Amino acid sequence: MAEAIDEKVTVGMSDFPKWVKWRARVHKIEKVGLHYTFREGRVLYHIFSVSTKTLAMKLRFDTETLGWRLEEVSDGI
Amino acid sequence: MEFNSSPSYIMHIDLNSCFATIEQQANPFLRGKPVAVAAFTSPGGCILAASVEAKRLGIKTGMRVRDGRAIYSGLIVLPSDPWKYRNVHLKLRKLIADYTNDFSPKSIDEFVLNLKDYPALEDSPIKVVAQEIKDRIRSEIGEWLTVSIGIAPNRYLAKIAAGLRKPDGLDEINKDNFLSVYSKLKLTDLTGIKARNAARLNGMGIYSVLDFYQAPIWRLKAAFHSITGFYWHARLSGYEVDDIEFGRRSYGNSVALGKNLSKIEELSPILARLTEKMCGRLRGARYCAGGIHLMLTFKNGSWWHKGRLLIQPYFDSRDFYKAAFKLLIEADPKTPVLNIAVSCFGLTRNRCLQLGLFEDVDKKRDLVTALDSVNERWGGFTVGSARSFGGAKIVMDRIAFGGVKELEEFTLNSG
Repeated sequence: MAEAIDEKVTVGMSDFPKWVKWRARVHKIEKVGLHYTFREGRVLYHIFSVSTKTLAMKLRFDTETLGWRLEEVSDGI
Repeated sequence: MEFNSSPSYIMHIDLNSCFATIEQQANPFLRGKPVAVAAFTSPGGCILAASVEAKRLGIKTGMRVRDGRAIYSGLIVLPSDPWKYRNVHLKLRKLIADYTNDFSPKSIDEFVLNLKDYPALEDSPIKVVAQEIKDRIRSEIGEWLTVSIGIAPNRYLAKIAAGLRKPDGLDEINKDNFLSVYSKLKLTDLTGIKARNAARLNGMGIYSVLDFYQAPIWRLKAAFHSITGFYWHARLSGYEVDDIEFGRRSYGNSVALGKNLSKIEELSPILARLTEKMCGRLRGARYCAGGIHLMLTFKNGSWWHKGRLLIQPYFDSRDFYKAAFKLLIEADPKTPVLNIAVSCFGLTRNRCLQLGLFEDVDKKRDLVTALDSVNERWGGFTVGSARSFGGAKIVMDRIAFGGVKELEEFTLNSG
């Protein structure tokens, strides 16, 4: 089941996201399923659909504020 | 007419179960499971795409979510995520451009390529090129994405070939195998031949695709009462008659209402939102429009529509809204509305408009241009009419079915 989160997170990057720190816990990213972009006005957002061993996450990177947000978490059920 | 003996240069690429497969690509936990992408995830929502696994259970595009769940209670239903699909489309487009620049997207998940005289075919046969494209899609865009590719001497047969085996098919229809392929197809398996056209053909003694191919042109002309009969004969004989790109003649937006709404005060904010969305696209392409059209379909299956010429070409959303609102008053809906569609036609370039006697057109244009600039900088609908904000929750971002024209817009805007 997918759950909307919309919380600020810290993400470790090296070409692609490697880990996410969410609610004081670090989640190691196993796979980047899809990376895509869109614009709202002139602001470019990068979306990374990533998965850990147990969760799928949708991460949004704002190229204007350089901040990350966790938009959604899903367990695939 | 003999079957076209020239080699196959046309390739039709169809991304299998597009939206659902892309969701499975994004989220590996969904892979191998029955997944549906729906306009609304509520029971009455319409399924836009079903994954290969869901299709195997009998769940199809166009079904209601409740009907899909009645077939399989564990069906995973997701809302649509237009930018995810548009980006995959753009990546496919970029990959295909490595092989030919003579290609056209037919919808968000379909491309037609003409490889005639392109270097890709100098070293390898077309089937090898097709396999390479399939492999590259998996390795460069997503390993879960599969495409069915059809190859033929013309666009129509390439599309038919792409539909022969799904998912992940690769088939060719050519002078050597067309009879064998035709003998396995029903008339209604052909794109463009559904119950009515099949009945027309049956009326002329044509019951199979082989009959259709072998029928003399006069009989086909009699069946369709037009030149269309000749075109069908040419298509089935492998000659090109569909290499036509139609220019844009209108802009429009529509929405399916999830709620039971029939009062003018309930419908007008939605109409305002649709009109502003349409006008933003119209002005973005530097057009004015000289006519407006409104169509309402009702939940009881009936419908109402009317088009009207405007006194002069307009560009301002407020002018279009006034005209559309008058049409809505004329429609006077008494029963719940299922769908509202507004469109404008009679497109002209907006360089030299008639000056108004009572209003300053240049001043109006400056104001509209300034508002468009604000929306372009901060995102659509940052500034809009107060009325249109009431329709914001209903008029959401959607991908139009077969929306090739819409694809042009986001392709241009994504650069």
